[in-house]
Amino acid sequence: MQTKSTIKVSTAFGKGCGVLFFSVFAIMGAFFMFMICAALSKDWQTRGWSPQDAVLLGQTVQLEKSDSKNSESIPFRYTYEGRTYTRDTVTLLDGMVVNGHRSDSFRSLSNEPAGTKVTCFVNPKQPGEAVLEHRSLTYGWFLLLPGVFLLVGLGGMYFVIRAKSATAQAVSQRHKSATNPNCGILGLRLFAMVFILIGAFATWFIGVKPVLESREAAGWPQVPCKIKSASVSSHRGSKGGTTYGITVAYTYEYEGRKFSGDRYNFSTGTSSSRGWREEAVSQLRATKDPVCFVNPENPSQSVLSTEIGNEKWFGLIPLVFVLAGLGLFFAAPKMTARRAGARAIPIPPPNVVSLSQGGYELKPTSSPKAGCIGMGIFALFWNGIVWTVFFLHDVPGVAKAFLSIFLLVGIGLAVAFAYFFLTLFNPKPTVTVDVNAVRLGGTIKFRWRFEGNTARISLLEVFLTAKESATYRRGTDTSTDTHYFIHQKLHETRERLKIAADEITITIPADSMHSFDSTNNKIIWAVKLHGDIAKWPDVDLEFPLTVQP
Amino acid sequence: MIRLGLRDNQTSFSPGDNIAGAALWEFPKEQKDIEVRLVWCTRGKGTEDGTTVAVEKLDATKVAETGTFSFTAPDAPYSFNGTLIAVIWAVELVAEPSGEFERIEITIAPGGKEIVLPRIEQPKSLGGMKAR
Repeated sequence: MQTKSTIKVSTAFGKGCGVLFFSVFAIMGAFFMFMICAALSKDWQTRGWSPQDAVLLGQTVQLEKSDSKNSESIPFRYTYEGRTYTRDTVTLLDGMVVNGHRSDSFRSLSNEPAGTKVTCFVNPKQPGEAVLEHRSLTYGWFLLLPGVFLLVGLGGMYFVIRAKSATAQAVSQRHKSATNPNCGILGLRLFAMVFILIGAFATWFIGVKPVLESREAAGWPQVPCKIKSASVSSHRGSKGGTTYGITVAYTYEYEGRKFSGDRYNFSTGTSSSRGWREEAVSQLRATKDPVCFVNPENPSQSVLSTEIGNEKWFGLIPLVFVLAGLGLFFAAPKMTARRAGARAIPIPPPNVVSLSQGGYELKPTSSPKAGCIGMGIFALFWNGIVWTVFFLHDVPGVAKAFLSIFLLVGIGLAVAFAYFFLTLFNPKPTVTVDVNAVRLGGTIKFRWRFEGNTARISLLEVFLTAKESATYRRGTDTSTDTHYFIHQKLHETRERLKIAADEITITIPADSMHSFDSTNNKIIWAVKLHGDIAKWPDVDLEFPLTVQP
Repeated sequence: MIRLGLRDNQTSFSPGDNIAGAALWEFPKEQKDIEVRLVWCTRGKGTEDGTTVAVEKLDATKVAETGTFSFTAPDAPYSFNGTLIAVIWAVELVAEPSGEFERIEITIAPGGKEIVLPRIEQPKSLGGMKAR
């Protein structure tokens, strides 16, 4: 038996864990927000710096050994209050590059010859600090992402700290959302918005933007170019996997001016596919007269290829988040209505069809067709991913041994699909009843008629069942346990004609519990039809009954 | 301080019966709401579900007072006790914003007797493919 002090300790421990969990979100969010805000603040400050004449000293190129990337800088000289300084920063935090590419103005300036006069902006407090460009502050939108983490973290911590233990609250206080479902709807919709925003953001940047840019670039004029270097760069990820990218440097002339470029295509980032990149690089090296596509409105912007290849489809993966978010957003009222508690009097489920000749048709809890389709999609999805990873990617031996467990599960799923597929060819029963709901102690006429070759069924059994169903959470998993309290054989027959069609009267015990349907706890009544078929999956269908008090 | 009592200390009711009683409270300052609520909740293995079925508001303007209440026992759900789940009915006296409450658990079922679900041997899966 738990004492009060142990309850207090376990509650405090639970709260501590909850606060710790959400504080990770809050700290991560706050850290990245701070970093972005610091960058924004610095970039904003440059707008108040003093404009001064400066002279470009000519572009320098250095090879960074760490990732075999070309590092460029643009040195310039300026004079402030009688002293001469030399700097090479176009903007503050020049290291902040997007998708491995410098800003267009960087490339534009890097193409200017030494001696070109430009304007730089000097920090009056520290004249040794100067920039050539006021960077756009539009990247401030990125604050949204860590902002969501910060909100979730702070909100979670607030609710964990504020939450009272179950024993310290009245039942009516614990289930307040049931009396005010609007709070629940708002909460769910806010949660859904996080998914939608992150998914849309990622879809735009990874999926849509590169495709639109590629399409636009396909219409740009093609200009001969000179490939200075081309290679497949490899990057080792934090989890040990290697990803690959194409690193290129080329020069071209447009309307008499010389430019340099470093963009192979508009694809974002790197991936584990090495083959097509090596092919593209060797093609670039072998091409005698390479061309690049040049933006006529901004000739410093160019690209070597307007193809993205199959990787563009990866950009659609974040759409899953958008769809999940939209589903949750629109389902929120329905979901909170369900949470509002069980109906006082259980009502028949919507799949009980009223018949014109009287009576009602009952539909099985799960149809063989739905089961077959569901299992088919799952098996296809599982096997598609596992087999592709196993055979197409350069997976080391140990990982292959580990993956083989997943392959076995995939084979099991394929067998399960085959089983469900065979059940599609079983005789199909149509079940009708005289009333759509029966009271405790009442009777119901239960009729069935099989379509198909009923001669295959050697024995037909009819059961009345009632079970408890309890759904609970353990950590991040949700499980449902069931326990029958009635499982009674009502009828069995081996006569072919009576297997094909018959009727029985079912009496519901008067001293039992009626159907009960709340969010996590249920009492489910049903009639089961079980037909034995030799060397074939059996007929095994469950038809729910609504039992009222 | 709050106190709740049911008439004749009756805690077993049939659906449709009258559930009546009295409440007493004394607070250092005025409360926003003092309510008697008829509620049910689940207990057992599943995550708790619950609903407030009826509410009777008492005069919260007085810091010390007594009040009476009366509900009609609803038709469902019945109080029951199973292997995994139980449904518990209760009358609660709740003061807001102090959050102080008192609860009396009651039974609502035919004859005022909680339904006890029988424990039976669990059936083996009927499905499968047998070689016969």
